[in-house]
Amino acid sequence: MSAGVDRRWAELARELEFSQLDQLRKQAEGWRNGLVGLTALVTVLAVLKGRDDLTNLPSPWQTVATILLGAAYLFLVAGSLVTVRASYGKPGDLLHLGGQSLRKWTLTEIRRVRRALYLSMAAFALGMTLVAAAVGVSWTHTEESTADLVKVTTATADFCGQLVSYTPSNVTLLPTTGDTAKPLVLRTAQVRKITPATGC
Amino acid sequence: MSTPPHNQDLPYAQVDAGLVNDTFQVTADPAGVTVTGICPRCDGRTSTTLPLGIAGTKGLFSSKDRVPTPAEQADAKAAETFFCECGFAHTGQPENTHFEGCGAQWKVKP
Ligand SMILES: [Zn+2]
Ligand SMILES: [Zn+2]
Repeated sequence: MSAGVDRRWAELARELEFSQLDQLRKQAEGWRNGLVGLTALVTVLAVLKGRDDLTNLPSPWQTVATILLGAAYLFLVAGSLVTVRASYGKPGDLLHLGGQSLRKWTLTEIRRVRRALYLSMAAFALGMTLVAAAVGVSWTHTEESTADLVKVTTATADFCGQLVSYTPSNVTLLPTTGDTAKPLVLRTAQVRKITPATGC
Repeated sequence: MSTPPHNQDLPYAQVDAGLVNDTFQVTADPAGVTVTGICPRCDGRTSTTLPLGIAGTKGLFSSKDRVPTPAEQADAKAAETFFCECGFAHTGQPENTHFEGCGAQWKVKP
């Protein structure tokens, strides 16, 4: 390496020495912004999870969606931490500010930042795919108005459907299979039992 | 060992003195490593401190309030390029130089 390059590195190290506080503040600011963003992400996911969307899912799918969301969450959090690390450096790390150690550190740091960028992009893409998959699962498998589904046992047969009305004379059901527009009217006198159902 | 006098008439020049014999003393405290000796060009007394600072990951020495070990001090001395910091304004010295001295630079022989 030429003498001039050595001098440039040494000068850079010397300049860095005098801008330590600025550097540190910039780093702190970067991490703060990153962590604020992360908090927002966590909040959004918590709200998403807190809604009844997932609890409406029938049994294997609820677990599947939860696992997908959980994994997505982990990937997104890891991805954003890695990005902040790439942009603002690892906090609290020190080196001796000499030209040569700065040069050596810079070369390794370049490799680390490139790897971190690649990693965070991969984590982000994966996390988003998982979120999309979880949303897909909940859309395709959520059963509408599960709460109103009942199984009606009469003296002669069992019926299942959405409970529309219950009067002293008739029990009206809307079937979920077959002709779903045509209500099924049963005589109350015939009804022996009405139980909630999760599916028909 | 006689020390020649500081040649203050020497004009400033960015000269690479190459590898010089190790006549330098190293001292260390938690703030950094200081290498002190005689400039091979102007014979002035020069002292360079490699302070512990941030730039990023895994510094040469990791923990904060620890005095670098002799091995680490020796490593720092062997790895770095030193610049004359005799503190004298040799004729022709640039105004905003980072290293106030005769302009010489050298590495210490291992
Ligand atoms: Zn000198
Ligand atoms: Zn001098």
